[in-house]
Amino acid sequence: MSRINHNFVIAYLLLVLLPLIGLGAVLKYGRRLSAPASVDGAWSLQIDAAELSPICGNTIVGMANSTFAIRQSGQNLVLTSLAEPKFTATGTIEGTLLKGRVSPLSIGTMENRCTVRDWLLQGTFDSHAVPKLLSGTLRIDEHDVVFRALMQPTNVSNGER
Amino acid sequence: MHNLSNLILQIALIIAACRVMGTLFCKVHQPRVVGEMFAGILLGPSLFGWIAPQLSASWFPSSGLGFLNALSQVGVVIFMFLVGLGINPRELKHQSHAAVLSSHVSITAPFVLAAMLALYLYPRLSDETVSFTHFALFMGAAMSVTAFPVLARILTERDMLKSSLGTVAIACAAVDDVTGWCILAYIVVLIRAARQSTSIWVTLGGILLFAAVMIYGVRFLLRGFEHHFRRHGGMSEDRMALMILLALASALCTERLGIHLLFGSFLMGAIMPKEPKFVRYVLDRFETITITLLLPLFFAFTGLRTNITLLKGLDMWFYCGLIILAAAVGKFGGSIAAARLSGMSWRDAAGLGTLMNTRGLMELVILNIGLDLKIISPALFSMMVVMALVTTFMTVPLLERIFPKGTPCAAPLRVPLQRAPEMALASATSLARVRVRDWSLTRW
Repeated sequence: MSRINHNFVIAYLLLVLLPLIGLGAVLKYGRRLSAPASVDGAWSLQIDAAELSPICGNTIVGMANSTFAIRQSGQNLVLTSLAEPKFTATGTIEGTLLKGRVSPLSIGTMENRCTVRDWLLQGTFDSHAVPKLLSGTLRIDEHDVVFRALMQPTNVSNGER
Repeated sequence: MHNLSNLILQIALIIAACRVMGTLFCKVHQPRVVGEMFAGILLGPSLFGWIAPQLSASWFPSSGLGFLNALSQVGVVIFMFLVGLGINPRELKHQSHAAVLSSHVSITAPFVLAAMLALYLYPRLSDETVSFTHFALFMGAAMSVTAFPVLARILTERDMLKSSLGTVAIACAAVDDVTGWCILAYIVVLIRAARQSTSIWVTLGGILLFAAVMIYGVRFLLRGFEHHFRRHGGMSEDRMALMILLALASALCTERLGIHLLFGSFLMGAIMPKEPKFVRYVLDRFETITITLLLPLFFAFTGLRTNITLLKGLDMWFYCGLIILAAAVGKFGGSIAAARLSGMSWRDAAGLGTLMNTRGLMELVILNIGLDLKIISPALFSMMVVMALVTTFMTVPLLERIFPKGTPCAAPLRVPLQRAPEMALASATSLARVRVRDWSLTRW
């Protein structure tokens, strides 16, 4: 074997094959890691309309049976309502505990406009329930409202959720 | 009718924004593609949607992006066909040890670094529906890609294409592209097989059979195009239509086999005849509509999916910084180490590392596949798009530092490599034959 070929083989072993063995080790070790529970998808919200009616002059009753979407990036969540009143919230998930906060929001018509200043969501996620269940409390301007949300089925064909 | 008028408005806005940004970036010596990628991001929620959310929602409603997506995907299918057409597999045989080592290291180094980074990012930016193996392999494939067309364009503009560095770089990028797409195809198969009932062995067997039929069967039939071109000095509309149909059929086959549309169109391009005048002729027929209309739609669609506002807080920007660092160090460092061990000077090795760090449009194509398959989350997608922009943007300024005006770039290799004369001859003739200099598509 010429010197150039010899150097090439050594360099190839050091720079290509050795890292590939390292890659195998990384993949093996990584299997032990766990990622946050998946809450990504569309959810149908279930709230007793009577609980919502005293808040903000009856302007958010529409939320009682509405839907919202969660877009998940690891522990970070973005919640977006898919019906009126429109809102976007940011949140986090730690274990099974989900927290979200909506920025101050103006709702209603010109004649009946209302601003919700403080809007907090705190819920527990049950991944074993079928469909997946999120339940907890929605605190809207010091009114505590109990909610349940069920994950809507999604198409998983072709690897898409 | 409302949908149609909205689509036309979207296309008009996108073309205008891409032309303006592309021209501005050209003025600062950046490849036009960087400006157009940037224009896509400006039109999305990162800027336009953030400044004028209602106007953005009216012009680019999420429910009305289906047509835009479909058109942009058609554009990428044709683009991948043209990229495949531009790669001559015969040239890959004429590689020196420097090119072989550099190309393989420029894949393994960022791949391994990305997998190591995945150990840190997986618990933070992924979720339980994605396995660590899939996540890490995808990150590796996404970080190890090199934009062959952008690299060829940069080399052409700097008159480095026929230098020894240019030859090694172009060979490395071609190997990177082919290898990267093979790795990505395998990952897509793994992921889809895990989510479907079809056995992975059936899928892999089908793909291998398809590839064998294409390479050992269809490739010889395609020579008919070249013969026709030689006899008539051009191609009839029917034959051009047949070529498009074949690219689309190949794309459909790979999609049905469980990989992705793009692999089929790339493969069809790669097995097309490589007679330079024929290649030039086909590119001339396709590139104007692809470059000026279809690819800007893809940039815009990518931009509409990129939401930099998701990177809230220092921790998210820290992750983004780590991704850029791992991608740059893996490509740059890996290529330099390999080039030095192959006997290149520090200057040439640094030049090669810089060139290999160019990711451009190819990165966006891969990232969109990852987001569609939900292997990467929206925030991670946005971070990787930022990484693609930064690493592509840094190429030209770094090259200008390494090879200031008047510096003879790419000096002859210090240690004569076994096949260097053969390689130099092959590159000088074959690259001149392909006339990459005239290939407008290389701007991408």
